[in-house]
Amino acid sequence: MHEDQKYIDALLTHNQRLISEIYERFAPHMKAYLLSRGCSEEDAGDVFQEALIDIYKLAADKQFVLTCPFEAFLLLLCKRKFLNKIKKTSLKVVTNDDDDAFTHIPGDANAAAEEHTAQVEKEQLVMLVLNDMGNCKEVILKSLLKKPQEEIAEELGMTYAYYRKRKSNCMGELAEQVRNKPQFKELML
Amino acid sequence: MTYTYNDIENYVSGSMSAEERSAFEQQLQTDEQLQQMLSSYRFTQHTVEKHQQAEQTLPQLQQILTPLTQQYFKQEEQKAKVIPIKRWVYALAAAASVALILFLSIPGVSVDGYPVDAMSGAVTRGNEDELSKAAQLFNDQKYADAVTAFMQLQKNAPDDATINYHLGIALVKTQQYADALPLFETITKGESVYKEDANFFAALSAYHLQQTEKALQYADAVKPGSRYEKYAKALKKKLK
Repeated sequence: MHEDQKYIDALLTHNQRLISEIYERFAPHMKAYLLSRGCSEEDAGDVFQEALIDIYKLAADKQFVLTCPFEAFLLLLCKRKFLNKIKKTSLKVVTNDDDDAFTHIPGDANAAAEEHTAQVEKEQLVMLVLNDMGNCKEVILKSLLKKPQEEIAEELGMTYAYYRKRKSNCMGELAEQVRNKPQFKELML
Repeated sequence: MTYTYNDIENYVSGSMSAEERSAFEQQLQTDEQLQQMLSSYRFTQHTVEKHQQAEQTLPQLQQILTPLTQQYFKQEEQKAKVIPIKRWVYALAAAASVALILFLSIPGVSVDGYPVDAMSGAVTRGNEDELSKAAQLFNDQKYADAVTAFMQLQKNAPDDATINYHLGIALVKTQQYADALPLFETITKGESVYKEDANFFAALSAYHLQQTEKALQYADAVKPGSRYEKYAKALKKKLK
């Protein structure tokens, strides 16, 4: 476990002082990098905040162990998020030979940061697929509520037996769609 | 034997008999496809559970992150507020000259700066029923309490558009976008008076959930002339 695990814990426990420290230590560098690529200040802020939220979600089960400097992980995640933003829109990225000066991460840290980032992207893929699953999404999300499953079946207007079958079919469909996504296969490599 | 995801669900939830479980695990040792299916099932189930859990407490985290993001990423705007008097005159003149352009292209319209109508039926003396209390909380902008009150009402009237629309707005105001979006989506498909306005709030919720396509789809559905038109345009601008 890296000593920067404290920042992961800070996000999970909403520790104001350490979260402020994250901004103080890492935001200026990240902002400089993103602005140098043609990103607006507002978008740079969005990218940074979204990256922190991604890390928060990744670590929400309190199982995540950081094995590289927090900055290396955050930097890579911001970079990927920014590149994805560019792909989605028709924004032009400013090419800059100084890229490595901003984003160079030494050896082992880079491999660990890559691994953590791939995990974030795999999880995002699951949630993206789920979001497009219509009624199945509703069934899956409701099934996670902390109340008797019989009650959930009733709320959904299904018999309990049918609800159970529908729930496992939906979970199966989600798992299968994710498994067959080319991006998922790439991330598993 | 060919196993399905139903079998996997039974295996994972411990619903298989000892015999079935033993046979399943035996095949699992050599069947690569079954291994992948089980692994994918466990991963997706765990991910959805984890993300849903995180969504519950995300608004509290966002309350800490958002001001810090403003502070560290929008310093130029803050500095720009301190302008020497001579420059101020030039700035005013420049501002006047581009006012029309600003008006037409709607820059500076914040997607979160939308107006919200007061809910009718707020509490009056002698009429303190639950709906009135919820409306009062909503009108007092006590949105977290309003969410609780509307959810209670929703149990007895799950299809009431008035309750769902105002619950949706209270959820948006407390940054619970994942819960707000399906409410607004349902309203857009109905025939209530909230149908049109719900398009904007569905777009706004989808935008905050980073569901770009859906956000654009609902923002496009906001009709010209609607009071939410300029906010929908601002939202589309941010997405593009």
